[in-house]
Amino acid sequence: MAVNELSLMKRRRALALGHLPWVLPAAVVIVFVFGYSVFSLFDQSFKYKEQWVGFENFNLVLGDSLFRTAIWHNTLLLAAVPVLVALGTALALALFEVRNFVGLYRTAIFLPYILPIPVVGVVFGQLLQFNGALNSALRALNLPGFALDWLGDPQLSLPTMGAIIIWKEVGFGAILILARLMSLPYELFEAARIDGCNFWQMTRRVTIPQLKTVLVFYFINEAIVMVSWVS
Amino acid sequence: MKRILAIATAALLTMVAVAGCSSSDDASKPVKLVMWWWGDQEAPGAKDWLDATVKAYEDANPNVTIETVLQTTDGLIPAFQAAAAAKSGPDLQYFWGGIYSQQPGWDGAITPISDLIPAEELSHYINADVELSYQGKVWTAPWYVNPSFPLLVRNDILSKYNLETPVTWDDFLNTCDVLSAKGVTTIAGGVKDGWFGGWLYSILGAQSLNSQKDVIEAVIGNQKFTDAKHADWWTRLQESKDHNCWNDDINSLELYQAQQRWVDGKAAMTVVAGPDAPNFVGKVGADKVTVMAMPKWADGPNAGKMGSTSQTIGVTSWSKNQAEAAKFIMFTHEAAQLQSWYDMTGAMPADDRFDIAAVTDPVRKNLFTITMNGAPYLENFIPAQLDTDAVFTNVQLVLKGTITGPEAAAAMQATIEKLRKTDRALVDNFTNWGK
Repeated sequence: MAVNELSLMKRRRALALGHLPWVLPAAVVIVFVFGYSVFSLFDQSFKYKEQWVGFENFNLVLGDSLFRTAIWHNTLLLAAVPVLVALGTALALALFEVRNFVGLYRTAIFLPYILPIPVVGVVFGQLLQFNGALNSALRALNLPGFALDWLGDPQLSLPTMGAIIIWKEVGFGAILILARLMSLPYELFEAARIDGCNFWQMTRRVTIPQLKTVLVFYFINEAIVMVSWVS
Repeated sequence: MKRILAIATAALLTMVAVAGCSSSDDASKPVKLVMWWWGDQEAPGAKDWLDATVKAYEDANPNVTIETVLQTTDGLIPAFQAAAAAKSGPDLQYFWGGIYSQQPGWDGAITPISDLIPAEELSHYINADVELSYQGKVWTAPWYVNPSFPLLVRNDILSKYNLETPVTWDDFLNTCDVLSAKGVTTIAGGVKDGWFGGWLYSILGAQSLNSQKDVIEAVIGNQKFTDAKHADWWTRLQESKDHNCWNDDINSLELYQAQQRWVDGKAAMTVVAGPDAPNFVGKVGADKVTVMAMPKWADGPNAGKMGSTSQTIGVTSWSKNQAEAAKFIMFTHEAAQLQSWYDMTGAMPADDRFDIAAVTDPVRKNLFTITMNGAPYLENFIPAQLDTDAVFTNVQLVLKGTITGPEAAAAMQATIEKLRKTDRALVDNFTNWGK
């Protein structure tokens, strides 16, 4: 028994060492690129013009109202991520059920995702001007109360931006989730139907749990996207 | 002994010959200069002029090649900051005047141009002393003058409503009342990207100050931006909002989009970049337009004057060809280049050897004459971060009606107090600049 355990440990160690030649170069690169950056960041954050200043830089940043506003705005934008995931899931479920013009719907939903951000910025910058196309249409429909200064009003500009990001990013989520849905075994849904599940029960008890890994990936990915839009 | 003398003489002659050869080699040694620049945006034709000038210089100096890279407005400063951090990049760099030339000097990113160009030559460059000097040195070389910033008034629109060109602030507000009642925009502007806020600060804020030194005093803390002479322009700005002077979508437009409304006859006035003013006037017709400074609201020595700033070229501290770079700058100030600059752009070269009397276009002549007696361009005498964090944003908020003029002044004061803490060198640098 003891001999077997020893042999097992040796084999494990040999296996671990066998991985080293493959892992080591990548590890060195990662440690150098990221490790040096992180070290440099912390090293510099305690200095001003190469002079040690302790926590003074941190005090200045944390006491800066502009910094706090930036954090708050990022937090508000992050609050749009659950909306994005819910909307992406809903669209994927709808697309899953559609039988006609499937390609057309998928293209229409996915198209905004492939547009470059500068293009989106220019187009919406024009559309959402106070006297732009959207507000002109609202006024023409006798809805002048809804013709707001979407980009120029400080109260509205952040929600407007959140909505634009959702419009651009939701297609990615919808297609990602749809691909996962289409790979789920049909028997699973069939069994649920035989057991008497209605649409909502099936969605809640069967579909969503099966989508969990994709949803988590999409959530994290979109949280990063949200922050990078305003960085 | 004679033999030794002969050998020594021969050696000396050989050394002189070699030195002569090496000097000749230096002149033919290939030199490449890289120039990052901006300016075609406000002086259309600048790119063609620069291409022609570079070619003329290369023809005259076959060993020199100059590569020019036109920068975007948003990329101009960040690209240079990145280059400065890496100590690698252009040999020649375009800078706006004032703080935009001072800061790179303070940061050690440029070599004072006064170390490279003779003082007599530099004395002809317009605004070099006012905006660019620091403790006896001059950082960068003025290239062309930017009259900052002319108000263009359409007399045809005003006369349609029996209005005269406003001279005082009260006249201006009265014009706003009359035109807004008729559904006409008095003055077209756009502050979405912020830059126009800095213009407004300069053309309104300068009127109540004695000189740019007042601003520097407020930056270092000897005066306050809430003092009446620094703060009252915010109240004037609020008045312009209250009297519906501006287009209702000013916060969602960039300035160039709003300027087009003036061209289209949908607004009676607008403010444009000085070098571009003649082009705007040409689009409407000189007989229909008055080019003037912002109407007077204060009694300061600069009230009723247009600002004057020079856009500049500097030589980077890491350049290995600083002397050659300076030679190229001096070449751009030779008579032929000054004249071709005016011919190709219609803008005023920043050199007092350019003969304004020979300018026949009345609009340009008027603009250049006003500029020669111009006021300091205020925005160039505050830290760039104060400009973006306090001026740009608070102008947007005042014009939106979110905050009042006094609140904007208080916010500007709060911002400079914060900046004095975060930028520990700020007070020393500005104090030395103000001396």
